[in-house]
Amino acid sequence: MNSPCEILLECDDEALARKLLQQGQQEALRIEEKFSRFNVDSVIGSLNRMQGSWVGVDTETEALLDFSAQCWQLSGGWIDVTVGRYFQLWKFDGQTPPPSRKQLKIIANSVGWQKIIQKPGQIWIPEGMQIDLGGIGKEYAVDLVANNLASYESLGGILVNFGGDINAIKARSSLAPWRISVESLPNQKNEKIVSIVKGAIATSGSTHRFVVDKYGKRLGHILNPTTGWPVRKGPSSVTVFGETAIQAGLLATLAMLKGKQAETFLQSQSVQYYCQRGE
Amino acid sequence: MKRWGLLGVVLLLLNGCSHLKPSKVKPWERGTMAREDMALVSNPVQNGLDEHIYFSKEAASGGSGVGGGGCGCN
Amino acid sequence: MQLNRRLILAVGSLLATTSGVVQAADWAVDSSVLFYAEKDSQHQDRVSLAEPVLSITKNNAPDDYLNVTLVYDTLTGASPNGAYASSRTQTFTSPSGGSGYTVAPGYTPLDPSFKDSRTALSLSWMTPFSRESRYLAGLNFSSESDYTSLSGNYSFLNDFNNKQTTLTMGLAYSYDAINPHGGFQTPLSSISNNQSQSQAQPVTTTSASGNGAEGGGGTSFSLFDGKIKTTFDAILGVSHVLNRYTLLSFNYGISEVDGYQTDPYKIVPIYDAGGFPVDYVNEKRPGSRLKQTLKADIVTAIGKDSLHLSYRYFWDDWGIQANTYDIKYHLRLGESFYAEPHYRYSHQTEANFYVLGLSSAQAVPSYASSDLRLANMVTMTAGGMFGWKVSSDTTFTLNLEKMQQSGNSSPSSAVGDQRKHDMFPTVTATMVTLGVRTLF
Repeated sequence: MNSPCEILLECDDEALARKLLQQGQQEALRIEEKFSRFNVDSVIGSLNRMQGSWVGVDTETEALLDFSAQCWQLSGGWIDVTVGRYFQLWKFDGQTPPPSRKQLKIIANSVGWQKIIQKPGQIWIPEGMQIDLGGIGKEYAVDLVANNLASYESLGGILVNFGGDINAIKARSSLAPWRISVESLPNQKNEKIVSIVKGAIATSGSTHRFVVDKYGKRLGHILNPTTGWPVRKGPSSVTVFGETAIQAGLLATLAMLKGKQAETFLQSQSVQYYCQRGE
Repeated sequence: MKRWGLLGVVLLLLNGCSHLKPSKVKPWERGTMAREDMALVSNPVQNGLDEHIYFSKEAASGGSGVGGGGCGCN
Repeated sequence: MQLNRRLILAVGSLLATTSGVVQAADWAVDSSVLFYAEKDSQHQDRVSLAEPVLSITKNNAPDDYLNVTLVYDTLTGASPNGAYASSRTQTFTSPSGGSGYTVAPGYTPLDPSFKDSRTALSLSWMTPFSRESRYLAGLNFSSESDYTSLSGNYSFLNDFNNKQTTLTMGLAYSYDAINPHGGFQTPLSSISNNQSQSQAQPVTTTSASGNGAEGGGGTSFSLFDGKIKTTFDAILGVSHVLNRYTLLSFNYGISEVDGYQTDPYKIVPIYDAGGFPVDYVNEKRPGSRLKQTLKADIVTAIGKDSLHLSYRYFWDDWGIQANTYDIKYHLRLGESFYAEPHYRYSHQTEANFYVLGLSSAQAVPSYASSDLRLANMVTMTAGGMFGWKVSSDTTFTLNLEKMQQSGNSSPSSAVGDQRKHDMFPTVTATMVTLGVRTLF
């Protein structure tokens, strides 16, 4: 997952706890191996190599692709797992300049979920397109591991945290809240601590990944799926509280895409959130 | 009558603890349903042996699903 | 609807589809052996049975598996032949091929030569069509020295309501061939006319020569054309997750059985005015039977335990109705042990052609059977299972049950000597099953 992961359990039986922790870790690794676009042998890796032909997919992959389609539809195209190609032009290292509008326009032809065709058990991806489930993969792993752990009745509190995407699916037996630290901006000294008894938290945005444009302005790493250009005037990070990590993560991403309207959007969704804006 | 009475008492008790109140159940709330003992048939092998005995000893049979083979025992 | 609400629903159906992927073990092997022994209230030992079962399941995903089950059983002992206890000694020639046997006064006649073994192989598999639908199919084959059965079944399952409700539609067809030891006998004719084994056709007779054994195949035997029995089953079921703790299920089943349904080893006594048997005839049952069932199940969690309740109503066009209640409580005893007490009660009414015997004064009916399994009776089963989860991969189980079948010992139709004896001795069976389940 390329980030620190932890699973917290309240359990009297050490052997069971060890087994479950190991099982959770294996599950996280399984999901990463199966859906990472960086792994050429993964399901996504092979889908991206089979452009222009019908490819059979297993139930889990199909469920994730169907879900991606629903997100695309619900968000009016803002959440799109086919934006992958744009990222080849951007290097968010703070030094490499942004790509030209012309370069982006060429790539735009191979972006857009509407160009994909699906039928039960099969998918067809046009030439040149790349699917990237990175936007939901980590949160999916969090929720799936949390769900599986929650089926063990003998466990007390359960919290799964994969790189800041958190699902505290079960409250601690004492009902004392879980205390979670949210990454703060470099210029702010105070660490933000939030307390939740139960629920999920996800954060989108990062203070470490950016490019500098020709005017010397920092651009974030959230790309508009229709233009391939970073969204302007957005918060530097958005943290959303929800029922599942996937839901919280997608709302956080959408808020980032709304730029200036991030807070207005989150208010309209009646969720708790925490927005950080730099400069 | 007695049997119905007993069944009634059990159902009332269940109703008291809201076990019979319909509600939307989200997938992440189905931890209990995932338990092995919560399956309709929690031990298929034992169930198969029992059903085979009842089939060979009674006139009534079936009810749970299609499947299972024939037997000359009845 | 708010985007957020829609998103919650979409996440819900995503996780419903994929949850449990990690929990499904690849292979599950169940091996069990059942020991069964019967005794009646006249202290006569009846049949006993040993039945080992091996069941292997390959799980690919929660709705994607393949199961192979192999069952072998050997049955030996004495089985009621249909006649009732009398104050006189009764002598029978054995239709099942052995030499004759004599029954002392006061005892319900049992045919002592009952012996058979059965091998059954079944294959079943579930395959998803899509996220919300799947099918379950199966093939079964079983073989006994006098009975062969081949059947297939197919069910379609579809989820609704974010997987909270599942609808099942299933069909099954079974093709069974009956080949009694000693050949087929003429129904409702005296067993003294039965052909002896040397004259009967070998066990491998074809349907045509089977007809010959029935004595020329007159119109009255037209139902006995062949020795084939076919069964067509259909089922419609709905199961529903009512709330976080409770699962409900309702099933309606209909089954049409056509062909040879007479028990070739059962006889009907012919009695005189004093109630004494003077002769015995081979029984005869109708060639078609329409059975229907309604079944309701509730499974509910009570803390870490669970309660299983089930009720079945059965009725058929033979006049049999049965009410069956089943209750089971899964009691968890720590992380490694469980106990599961079980009680079952079933009452059935008699078939409309069931008779204690036929009076020599009355005309012979079209159908008659004295098989106590078609009589008015109550079956009660009580016992329970004890389970020991040795590790996360291995569970041992011990199931102990007593079953008791009782009926009307002094029916109002009894006359003369019949009133002096127990016309329905209560039968008690003891069942012990040892099992081990291993996950790989």
